[in-house]
Amino acid sequence: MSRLRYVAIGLLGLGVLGGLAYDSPSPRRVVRRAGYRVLEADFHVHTRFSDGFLSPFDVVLHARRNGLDAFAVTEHNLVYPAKMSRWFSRLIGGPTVVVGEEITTDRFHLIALGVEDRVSPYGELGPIVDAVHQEGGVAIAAHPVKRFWPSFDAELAKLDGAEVMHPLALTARGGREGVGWRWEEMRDFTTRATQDGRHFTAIGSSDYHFFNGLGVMRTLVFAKDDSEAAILQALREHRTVVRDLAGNYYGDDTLVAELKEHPITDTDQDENGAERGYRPRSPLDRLTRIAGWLGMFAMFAFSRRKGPGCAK
Amino acid sequence: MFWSDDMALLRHPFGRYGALGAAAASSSWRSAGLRIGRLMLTLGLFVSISTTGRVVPSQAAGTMVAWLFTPLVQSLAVLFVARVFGRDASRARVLDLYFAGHGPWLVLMWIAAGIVAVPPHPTSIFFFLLAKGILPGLLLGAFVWGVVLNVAMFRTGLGLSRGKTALATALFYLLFVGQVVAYYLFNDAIQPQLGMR
Repeated sequence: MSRLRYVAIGLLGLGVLGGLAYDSPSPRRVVRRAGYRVLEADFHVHTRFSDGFLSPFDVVLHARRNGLDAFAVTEHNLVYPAKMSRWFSRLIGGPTVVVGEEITTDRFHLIALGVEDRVSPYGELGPIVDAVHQEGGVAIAAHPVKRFWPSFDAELAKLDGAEVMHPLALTARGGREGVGWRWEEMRDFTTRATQDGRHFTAIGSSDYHFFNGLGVMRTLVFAKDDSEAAILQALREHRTVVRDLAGNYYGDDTLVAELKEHPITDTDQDENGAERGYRPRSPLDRLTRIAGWLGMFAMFAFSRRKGPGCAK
Repeated sequence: MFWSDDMALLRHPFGRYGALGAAAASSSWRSAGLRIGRLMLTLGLFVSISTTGRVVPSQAAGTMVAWLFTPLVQSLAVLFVARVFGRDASRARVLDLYFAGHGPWLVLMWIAAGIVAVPPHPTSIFFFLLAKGILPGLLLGAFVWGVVLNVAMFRTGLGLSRGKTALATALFYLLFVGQVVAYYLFNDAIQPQLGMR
């Protein structure tokens, strides 16, 4: 074996040691307000089974790493990856996993939470929401930007809630408009939906696909406990609060007032949440990260021996 | 020479594939397997670093398993094409040659992981590179150079004629992309987004 390969293995070994030493679950604590347990949740997560990077098992570990009490796996028109996550999380005592589906069409995207069987994406929004409810699920308008408004407006009375916070808010803050979708349109949809006093479940979600950002936007759920059933009950009864980057609250008025009076100051969502996930814990942590990254290069860039065929 | 075949092929796709093609007459399954293993290790490290900022062994290993479908669908496509156009090449030789040509993707994954692992404000830098078109440009560059490498493999690695090389490359991408699209069609992930009701 060449000397450079030993260097590669050494660098990678340092990276592995750093990963073992510094990667750990974020400590969770029990927070109570207004007689409920307040859970930090992310209800829009994808895995490798559609267009995400992580396996259904790895998202559980990452949710635990990022300090979530609960999350929903919501694959495009699929539910079985969510069941895999729920099984694994129960096995290791991880965060509560709500089985979900992102019903994805050209006219709307709908987050169905608490469905055990796949809801068909074919048809109009109204019957699809009915099907979600028949399964005992909760129907949430996913990133309701203007192009989806005609469908959502027509069935506003049937919807349980909408995503009001989304990583699009981060691009909006930077003066960029993302992929033609604007966060302000999501916010305006919820504001309009609640104008006549309608109760609407406010949701903050990361729409997680890859990198660190699982839970970068999250929902505070006021539930009786951290079971899947209690979380779904809280969503049905609109017991959620979401905070935007400017500090404005959305959700149940009573609970918002309670939070203003007794704020939860160290929730894991803040405007630098995306950066915080990558922040090294010490100079040694930073050093081992760089060593691991250099080792990654050395492993594929330097010759093992001479060339093809030589390894036999 | 201390550069691996992946790196050498990046610089001289046709010349290097010619040399590898001659040497690979005695390719073994072990050699092909090691190349696939290295690709999966790089993928595992990329996902681990881009997700956590660190080399987390469980994360890297989980990714290596979860993404095994990638070399599987690539292998099925390239073996079928080789069966049609290069009947005298052994399956081990075809896989050995094919998986030597993933340099553009390995480098791209390494750069993307570096954005997360090295600078103090990775998210800001990531958005900057995205907004300036640098990351999409790198992605496009990796894809285009990957196509060049596949052409070089069929042309000088397996010794096909120009016409057969063009047909083999087209058929390879048809089969490779076709398998991925078939998965999404099977799961109803595409049709509803095309307006089918």
